[in-house]
Amino acid sequence: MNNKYDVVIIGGGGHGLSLAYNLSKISNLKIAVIEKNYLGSGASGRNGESIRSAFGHDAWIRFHEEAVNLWETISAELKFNVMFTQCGYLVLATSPKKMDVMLNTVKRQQELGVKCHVVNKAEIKKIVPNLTTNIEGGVLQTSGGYARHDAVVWAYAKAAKALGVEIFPFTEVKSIDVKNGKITGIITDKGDIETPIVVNSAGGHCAQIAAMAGIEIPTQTYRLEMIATEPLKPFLKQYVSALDQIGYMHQTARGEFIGGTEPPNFLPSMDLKCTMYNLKDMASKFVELFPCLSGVKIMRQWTGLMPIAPDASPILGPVYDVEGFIMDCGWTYGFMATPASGKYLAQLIKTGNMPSIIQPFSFERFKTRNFIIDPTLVVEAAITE
Amino acid sequence: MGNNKEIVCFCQDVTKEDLIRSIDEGYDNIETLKRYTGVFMGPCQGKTCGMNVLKIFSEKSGQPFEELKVPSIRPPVVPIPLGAIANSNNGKDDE
Amino acid sequence: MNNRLKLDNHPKLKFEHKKTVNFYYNGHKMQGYEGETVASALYANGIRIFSRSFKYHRPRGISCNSGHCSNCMMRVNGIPNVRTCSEPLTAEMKVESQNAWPSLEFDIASLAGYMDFLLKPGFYYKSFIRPRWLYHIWENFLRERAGIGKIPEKKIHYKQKSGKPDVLIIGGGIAGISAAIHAASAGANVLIAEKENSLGGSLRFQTENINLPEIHLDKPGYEIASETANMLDSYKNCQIFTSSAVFGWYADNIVGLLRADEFWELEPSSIIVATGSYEYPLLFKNNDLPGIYLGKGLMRLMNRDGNNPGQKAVVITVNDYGYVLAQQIINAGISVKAVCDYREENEIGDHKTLNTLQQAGTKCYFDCQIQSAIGKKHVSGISFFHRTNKKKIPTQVSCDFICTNNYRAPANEFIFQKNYTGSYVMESPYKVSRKPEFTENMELGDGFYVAGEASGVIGSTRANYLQGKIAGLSAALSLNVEKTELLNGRIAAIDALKILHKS
Repeated sequence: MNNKYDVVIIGGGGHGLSLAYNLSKISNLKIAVIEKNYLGSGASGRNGESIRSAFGHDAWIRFHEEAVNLWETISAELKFNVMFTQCGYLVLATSPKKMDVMLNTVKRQQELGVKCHVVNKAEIKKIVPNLTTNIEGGVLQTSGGYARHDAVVWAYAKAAKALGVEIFPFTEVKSIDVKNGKITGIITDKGDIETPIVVNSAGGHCAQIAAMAGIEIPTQTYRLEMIATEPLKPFLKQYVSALDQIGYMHQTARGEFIGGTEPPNFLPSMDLKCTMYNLKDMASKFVELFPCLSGVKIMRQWTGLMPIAPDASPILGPVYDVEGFIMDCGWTYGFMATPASGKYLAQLIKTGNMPSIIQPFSFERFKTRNFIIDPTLVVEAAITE
Repeated sequence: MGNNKEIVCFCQDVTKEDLIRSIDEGYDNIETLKRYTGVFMGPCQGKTCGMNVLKIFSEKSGQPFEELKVPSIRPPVVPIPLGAIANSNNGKDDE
Repeated sequence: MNNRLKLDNHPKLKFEHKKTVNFYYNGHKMQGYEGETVASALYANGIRIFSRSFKYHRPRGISCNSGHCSNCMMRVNGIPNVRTCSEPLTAEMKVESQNAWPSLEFDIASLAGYMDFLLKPGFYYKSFIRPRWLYHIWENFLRERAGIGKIPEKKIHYKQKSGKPDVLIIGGGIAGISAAIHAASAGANVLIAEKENSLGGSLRFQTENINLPEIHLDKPGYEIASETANMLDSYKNCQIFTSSAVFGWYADNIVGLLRADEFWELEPSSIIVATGSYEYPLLFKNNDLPGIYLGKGLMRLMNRDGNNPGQKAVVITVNDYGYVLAQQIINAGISVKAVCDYREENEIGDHKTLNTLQQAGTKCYFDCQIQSAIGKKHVSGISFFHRTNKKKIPTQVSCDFICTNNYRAPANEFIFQKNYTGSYVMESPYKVSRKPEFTENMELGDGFYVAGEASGVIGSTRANYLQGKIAGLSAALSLNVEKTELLNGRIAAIDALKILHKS
């Protein structure tokens, strides 16, 4: 480890590594990525792998549509097949209320170029024959789908290394030095580093990292649990997310059915141990949606952390109280944004100007109270109006 | 090569040779090795491969066996059907 | 049932078969005994290949025979991936093979084994990157090939139950039984959960004599198993749950248990983990051929199910227990052609059994390096050489089946699902384990105890019994029951265990 870098990125997940790769692609900056555990040990390796852009708020749609376009090219660019598949992303409603939410947003999604359309009960029966018939309808985004989450981490790590980025797994940041309102360096358990720019890509631990620089960010970290079943022959092609059940699920290339739900009375916590409460919620909802899963066995259950801002939208870009401290956190749909957040934050660091596509997600919005509330998110916990 | 294989992971057909090559390729952490090769993640949940993988990993990586960290182990210990846990009164039955 | 390869003339054991029932395997009518495992019934009908492996479609047969590995998974009555080695047979059952075409015996996809240079782990990350349309075709192919069973056709229904026993004992082997007897005799409300259909653990298939002076027994293991189980049965404050799988201890302090068609949520005051140990396969070429059994898997096949695995056996071992296994194969009237020991001759401890075997005509080879198992769809021999042999000239022994005896590692997942710490220990090249930290009272933490091989101490039946006694008394003591007598009992057991470990 050298003692001086131009940029230090805290967090060796998909986001940190994507930013490192994108920044070294467009600049000659000396970049270090610091990760407390192994690469991809946080939410990057624990998420639902979903990719879509059919959201309900313009800023979300524009940003994620750009991300979907980037997903189509990254396997070739990184020379690593991240197994991105555009099998279709189906957002489901089982109540008329949630169906109305979707009917209200789909027109705008189409105007902004998202390849999506409303599907009724009969059409859903055709494309997802194993789904329950107790549904109102849904929106199918044909350009959406999923990719292999671990592969994304490895692909970016490999490509970034090839461009000269230095990556330090199993290195913990102890504190961040700020002098006269400017970042001057960080202290890790493996040594001190001088740097003018620190990026906070610490996922579930983003608030603690921000606090080290004296910044209070309004995120709270929640724990989400997921399950994987034994591998089965293909029975579900599309990615499915269910608004009423607050659940998301798909069948991986290996054949495992993987999904997670958000249970009622969802409280902030950073404990990674699994609970029976969540297990029962997931099992009940998945069997409700896919009755055929009733006799299928669960093989694994795990927990991941998700930081949620008051409006459940991410926080991107500089904070104006500490110069050189850049946020890439508060992600609730972080996985699908990986290529886009890296690309635009790299532009920000290189030019010093906030790219317009991520402007709405700036930290300033909490001061100006320009909250970005997207009604189609499968996250309900923290939204405060 | 060919059909004479030394199988470590019976669930995903991972051989000893596969594990050694994967460690050489840079998947040199037990968690990363697990995710890359699929060991521990088959229907036996690591009951067939577990210690054998750790031994090979320790020999190949030079990390003493005693220094490997015992991870927190994810439930369930045996695979259980979703329908057993699902609250059948909760959802509408549509057989 | 003329073609049944049953050990009905076992010199020591008598098998009480229940009534004969019909069942269907891939549409063919077969017969088996009601209540025996599906795998046992298939085996008796001559089935040796139970599944095809995930990637290379290699033939797989019964291996652990205790519901751990994935070798015997089939579709049973429309439910996929059922472990036939732990599923009881019922009349008119429909059993179907999975993931093979046209049949398990001849599976075209097994040609994949010769294309392995294309199919190394992670091959999918390195191929079909360009052009993208090609990946979509490839992906569909990959998805069709992956996965094991097909989704079930019908829903299953479980009843929800709950309970708050004073002491929950997970595992009904000798350690669990001993813990239950001592906790129950101290007045605690005990629930003992055993995954298999009867208590006794591996003692049930042990035909050699075992000395247990604490309860004045010196008898074959299977008799000790049934006598101690009967002792426990007399306690009214002890619930015995057999065929019950405890599947997790969750952060919200709920222990989940499945039993027949019941889902139990338990909130015990204290827990004793007596889950025993897992056997691991030995590593050599073709170590996955049908006909290669893990030691206790074979014991279940012969001494629990009464099946006849063949006429000529080879035992491969890394410790003295291999000789006990060989002796038990001989006890069943089968000849053991050879015992191949990884160790050198001067490392053998059990000379008595070794001599008995040699007198019975078994050749014992030491310092063996196994080269390969021989056979295509079933094992037919073993090829090995001596490590000291510089030219590596192999010795070949032909056989009908192989019994492997590797080290056993503790099955203590429950302990590490909570925050309890532990470490991996390598006691010798052939003995590794995962040890939790516990006190001499067998206490892991508040109200949480371990007993038997789950503690990481792979010892004798007597040591497991003593550990169970200490844990059972400790659990009872934590409930504020009548003390002095229990404390004295515990001290005596701790002393006895210390003396035993020293010897």
